Amino acid sequence: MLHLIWDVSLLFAGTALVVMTILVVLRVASTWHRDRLLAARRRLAPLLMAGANTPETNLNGIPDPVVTHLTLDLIQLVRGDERTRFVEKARALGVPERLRRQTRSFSRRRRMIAVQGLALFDDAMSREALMKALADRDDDIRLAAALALASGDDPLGLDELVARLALREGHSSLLTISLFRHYADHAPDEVQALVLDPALPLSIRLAAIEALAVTGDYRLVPAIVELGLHAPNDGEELPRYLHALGRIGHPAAREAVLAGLASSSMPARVAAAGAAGRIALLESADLLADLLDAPEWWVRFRAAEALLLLGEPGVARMRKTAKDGGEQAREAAVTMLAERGISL
Amino acid sequence: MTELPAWTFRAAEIVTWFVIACGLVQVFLYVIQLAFAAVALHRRPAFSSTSALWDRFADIAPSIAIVAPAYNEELTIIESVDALLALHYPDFEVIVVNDGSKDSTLQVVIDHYGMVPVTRYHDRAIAHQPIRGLYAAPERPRLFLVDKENGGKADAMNAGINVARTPLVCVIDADTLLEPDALMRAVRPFIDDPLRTVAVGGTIRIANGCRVEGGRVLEARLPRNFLALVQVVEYLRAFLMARLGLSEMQTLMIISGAFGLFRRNSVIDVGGFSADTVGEDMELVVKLHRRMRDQKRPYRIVYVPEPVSWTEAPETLDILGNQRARWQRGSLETYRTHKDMFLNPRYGRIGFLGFGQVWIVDVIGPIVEVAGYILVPPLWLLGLVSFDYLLAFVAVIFTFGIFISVATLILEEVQLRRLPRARDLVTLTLVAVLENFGYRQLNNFWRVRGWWQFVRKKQGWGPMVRKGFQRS
Repeated sequence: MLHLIWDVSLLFAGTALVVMTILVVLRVASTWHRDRLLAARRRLAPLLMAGANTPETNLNGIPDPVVTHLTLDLIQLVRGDERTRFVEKARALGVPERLRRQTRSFSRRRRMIAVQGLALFDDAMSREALMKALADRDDDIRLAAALALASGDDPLGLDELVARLALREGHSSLLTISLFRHYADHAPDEVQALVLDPALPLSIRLAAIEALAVTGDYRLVPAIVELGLHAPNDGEELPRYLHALGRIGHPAAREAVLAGLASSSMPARVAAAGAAGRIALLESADLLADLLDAPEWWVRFRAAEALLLLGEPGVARMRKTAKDGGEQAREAAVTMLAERGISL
Repeated sequence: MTELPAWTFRAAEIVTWFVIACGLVQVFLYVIQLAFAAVALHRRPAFSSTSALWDRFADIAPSIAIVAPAYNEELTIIESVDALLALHYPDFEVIVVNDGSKDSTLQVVIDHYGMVPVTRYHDRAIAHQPIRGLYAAPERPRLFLVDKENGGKADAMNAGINVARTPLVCVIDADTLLEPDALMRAVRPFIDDPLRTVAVGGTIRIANGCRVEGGRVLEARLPRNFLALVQVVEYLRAFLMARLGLSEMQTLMIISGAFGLFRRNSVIDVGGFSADTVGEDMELVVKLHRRMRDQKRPYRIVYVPEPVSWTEAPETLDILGNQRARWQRGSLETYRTHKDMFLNPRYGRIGFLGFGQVWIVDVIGPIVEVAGYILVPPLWLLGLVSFDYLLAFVAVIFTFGIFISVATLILEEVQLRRLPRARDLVTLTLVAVLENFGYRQLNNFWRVRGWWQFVRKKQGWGPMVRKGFQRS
């Protein structure tokens, strides 16, 4: 046993040192290669920036990866007509073809660069490559491909996209909301269909609600109110429903917001107070004034903010609380009024 | 020479076996961590450029308050704040907390940014020394200044967290230099898993020897000082192997106070940083584990290798020794405060793996290793144990030590490649070998000193004199 410990330790340490020596040799070689690529990049940059009509013959001898990466970098740096010209130039240099090939690379990093790059070229073949990337073994790359497809001129149907991505319960990435936002702008009906589809996981429906809320689409208000009124008090969904109602800012949310202000859940009361302020729900003023004495700071803060958004009726209640309220409520009212430069 | 009784041989063998077994368990833990770290590095999200990250995250990234405690920083505070204000992140504010500085830190900041006293309604959920004033700069809406009575770093961070109004808070040391896109990269777990993620730690690297300008590291270079070089290897091992491996196992026990991102509500829930320990950063993470486990809530505390912050490492034995003794004391204080979690099934893998690792590596590790140095060679010289025992002891301490350090460097080179030159790799490999002969033993003696201070209930931080970054 004692000998085994000695032998194994020597073997491990010796192997590590040998591997490290090999890595150092590889590093020397790769540094030499990288220096060549950097030199090529330095040669290429002025050619591309001088004008998008640089003849391809000037690019002889510059390795393809340098051309690909530099054109992508330049496209991301500019906007408008200049960007269009660089995209056309990249097409002429065969960048999309190379990116399409790169989507089949073993390296995840290369596949990710390819998918993000293809988002810049809205053509049939690039879309086809992105569609294939929707089946990538890596979640992140699938989502990047979906975002790229969503930002194109002819996006895939949302229901098909959701099915292909196999979004599951607990898949609560903010990037999902970002993806749905692309659709919420030009195809709100498709996002609304997700919200109302009971077969979909709750987290996906919540992401769809939050995406729609950003657009301020009133049509969804009755459905969210209904969901909010029946949501469990201690779940994560009630605050998100109330938050969405606040974003939309429609008075039809009244019933759910008033119920939310009386909820036993702190996050729900915070979201309801925010919504009451944004909707300017005057009848919530008394409830909000009561919340100035809530045990949680966030509730007091959001209630004070909401009262100030209600205008004079809210300010009057803040002044009254500043004079007659309990210690916590008084502090909230006095400080918030002072912070906004409103006299007592 | 009179023959020793048989029991002395048996006792010597038991003592030696115990020392070797403890070392083997440590090595085993490190190898497991290395394996998990390799898997985590392989599975980490594909690296994206800063501009690609901005395109994807700009609309959805949650707002962050960066809390920067400052105590007697009048010479460097403006450079530090300017660098923080120039970070690439869509929505953030910088809360500088003047922790009762005795120099003119407060006035320097007020004058430079034209700050004026303001009222701001803020939380009082976490206790801290009284706030004397709040200041904002009309020209710099992202900047906020809190002036409070002195209470130490933990106390200052608590004040900043109370004043923050964002869902996430980033705590840093006053002398930490953040890479411009560090926040953008560190926030990723909060974007990928917004409901469960409560804390994220990033990598800290040593800036000694680097070219620094305007609060930015312009050129990464290795330090020339041997002690700082050894710490480069130590930091790589601590972050790339230990923290990444433990994070992958979901048993991360520390997020360095020099750079960490936390969900504000979760920190408030556990009462913020504890001011009565020198290991407040480790203690906070343990408190978060405890609270989440007690409430049976799913959660994630994550280390991400990409976001990089830079810090200055001590270059003299005195200061380094004090720092290591203090770290040891911090670990022991945290262990004592939460010892009921150790091997407690209620805390699952934290109780067994997380605390098990703390117990083996931090609690008994230094004492057993120092006992080995003191006992095993003399026992061999006295003929009480055979040469094979001595060889096994040497194998566990020195040869496996070389393996662990070099393997971490291999991981760095294969997966991250952040060392700029091939000769840096050679230098660090040599250091990884050399540190086992002398430095490792010294470090263990410092840690035993930390044990002694802990037993004697020594309080305070001891001197931490900084040389300052090498500016171009």
